[in-house]
Amino acid sequence: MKILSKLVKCWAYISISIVLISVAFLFGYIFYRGGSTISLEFLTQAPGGAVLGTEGGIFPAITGSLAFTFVAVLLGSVPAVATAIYLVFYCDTRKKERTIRMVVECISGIPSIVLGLFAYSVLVRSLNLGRCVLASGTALAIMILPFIEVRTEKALRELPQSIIAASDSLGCSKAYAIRKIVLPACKGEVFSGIILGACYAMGATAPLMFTGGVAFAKTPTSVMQPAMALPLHLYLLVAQGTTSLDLAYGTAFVMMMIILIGNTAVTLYSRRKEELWQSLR
Amino acid sequence: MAILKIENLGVKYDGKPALNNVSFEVPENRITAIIGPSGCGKSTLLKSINGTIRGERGAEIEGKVYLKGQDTSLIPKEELHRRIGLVFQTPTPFPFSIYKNMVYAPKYYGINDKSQLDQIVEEKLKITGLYDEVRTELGKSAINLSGGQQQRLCIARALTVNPEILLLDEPCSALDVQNTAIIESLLKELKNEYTIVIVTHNIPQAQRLADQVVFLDGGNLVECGDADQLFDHPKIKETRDFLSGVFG
Ligand SMILES: Nc1ncnc2c1ncn2[C@@H]1O[C@H](COP(=O)(O)OP(=O)(O)OP(=O)(O)O)[C@@H](O)[C@H]1O
Ligand SMILES: [Mg+2]
Repeated sequence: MKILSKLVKCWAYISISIVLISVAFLFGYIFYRGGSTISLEFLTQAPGGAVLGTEGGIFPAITGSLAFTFVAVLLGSVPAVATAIYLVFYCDTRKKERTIRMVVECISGIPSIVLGLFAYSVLVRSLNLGRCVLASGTALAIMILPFIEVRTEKALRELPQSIIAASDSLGCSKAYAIRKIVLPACKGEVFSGIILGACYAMGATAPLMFTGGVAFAKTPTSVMQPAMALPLHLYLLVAQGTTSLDLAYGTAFVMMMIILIGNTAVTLYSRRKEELWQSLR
Repeated sequence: MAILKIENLGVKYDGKPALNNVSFEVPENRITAIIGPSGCGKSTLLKSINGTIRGERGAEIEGKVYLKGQDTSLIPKEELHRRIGLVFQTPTPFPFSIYKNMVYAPKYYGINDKSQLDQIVEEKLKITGLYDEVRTELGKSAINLSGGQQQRLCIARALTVNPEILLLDEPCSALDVQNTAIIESLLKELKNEYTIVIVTHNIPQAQRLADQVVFLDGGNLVECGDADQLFDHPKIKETRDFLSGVFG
C-alpha cells in the first residue's frame, strides 16, 4: 500500500514537472526567437517585400486582430450575459433550463472551421456582405458566446441567494436587484469572462479564413472591410515556406503578449475579488 | 384588532406536507413568537405569510392568509412584500455602503430627493440604535460591520419601506448575548408602531418578548395563546413536554 501511494505521488510530481518544463520551454523559446525580431518598425509598419511579409512589419495585422476581436466581443457578450441572467434569475422550469444549456453546449462543440463555413455561406455569400470584419466577427462571436456564458453564469450563481431574497422581501423587483446588486457585484467577473473570451477570439484563425481575414489589407476603417489578423498572418508566413521563421515568431510574440496581458489583468483582478467575497461569507 | 388572520393554512413541498391546517390570528402592535422544534415549519409559516412561498419550486399552498381582511393571495407580490417585511436568520447586507443599503428600497419606490433620503436613513438607523455607531461612516461597506450591526442594519433596511408587519426568522441566533439584548429591546420599542412576528429557538427570549405565542410541532399548530398563560399553564400536554424539555 505504501509503495503504491509513493508511486502515485512520484507519478504526479513527474507529470507536473513535464508540464511545467514544456510550458516554460514554449514561452521561453517564443520570447527568445520572437523578441529579437521585435522592433519599432515591426510593430508600426505594414508588411512588404517581394514575398509578402519578408520586409516591414505587422501593424495592420495588429489593428485588424483588434477589430475582429472587438466586433466579436460586442456581438457575443451581450447575448451571452443575457442568457446567463435568464438562466440564473428568470428560468422557472428545469426543462427550459436543460434545453438552453444543451444549446449552449452544442455551440461550444461546433468546430471553429464550421463556424467559418457558416458565416461564409450565409453572410459573405447569401447576404452578399463580401469578406469583411463583420462576417468574421459574427463567426467569432458565436464561438465565444458559450465561453462567456458559462463564466458569467458561474459568477452570478456565486452571489449568495439570500441577498436576492432580501431584496425580494423589500418588495423590489428582480430586474431592480439585478441592476443594482447583481451586476455591480459581479461586473468584475463578467468583465473577466469577456476579456478571456476576447483572448480566445484573438487567437482563432479558422473562423476568419474565408470570411474576412485576408493576406494583405490596410487597417480597417469600417466593419464592412476585410482585414489582416495576427494568427492568419502567422499561418501565411509559415505556409509560404520561403520566409524566415523569425518573422512568424515575432508575430507569435506580439499575439501572445496581447493575450498574456489580458489574462494577467484578469487574474490580478479576480484575486482581489475573491478576497472581497470571502469577507462576505 | 387582528391585523393578520391565518385560516386553514397548509403547505406541501413536492407533495410532502410541511404545514397542516394552521389557523390563528396575529394582534396588531403586539409581538407574536413562533416556537417549535427544528423542521416543524416555522420558516415555512413566515414565508407563507409574506408570500415568498408562492415563488418556490414544488410548493403547494392551501388555505388563506388575510392582511387587514384582504386575501393576501390577491395582493400583488411586490406590494405584499412591501407591506410585510422579512428579516432573515443570517444578516443579509447588500455588498455596498451602509447608506446605499438604506436607500436601496426607497429609491425603488421613486424617492430621489437627497434630503428626503438622508432623513429616512437617519430616522431608521436611529430606531435601531445604529446611527450613533456609524454616523461618520455611512459610506463604508456594510459588509465590514459586525454581525450584530449587520442584523440591525437589515432591520433598519426593512423599516425603510414602512411595512405594516415585520417578520423575523431567528434574527438573533447568529449573535452574541449583548447584540441579542440590543435587538430585543429594539423589538419591544418597535411594537408601538409595527406588528411583529418572530420565530425563535430561544424560549427565554420568547418569554421576554412575546405577547402571544404559537407552538408548532410537525407542521401542526399545537397551541396558541397569551404568552403568560402558555408559558405558565400550557393547556396541551405536548406544549408542556416541549417547554419542560427545553428547560429540563
Ligand atoms: N424549499 C423546500 N423544499 C422542500 N422541502 C422543504 C423546503 N423548505 C422546507 N422544507 C421542509 O419543510 C419542513 C419545514 O421546514 P422549515 O424550514 O419551515 O422548518 P423550521 O421550523 O423553520 O426549521 P428550523 O428551526 O430548522 O429553521 C422541513 O421538513 C423541511 O425539510
Ligand atoms: Mg427555519
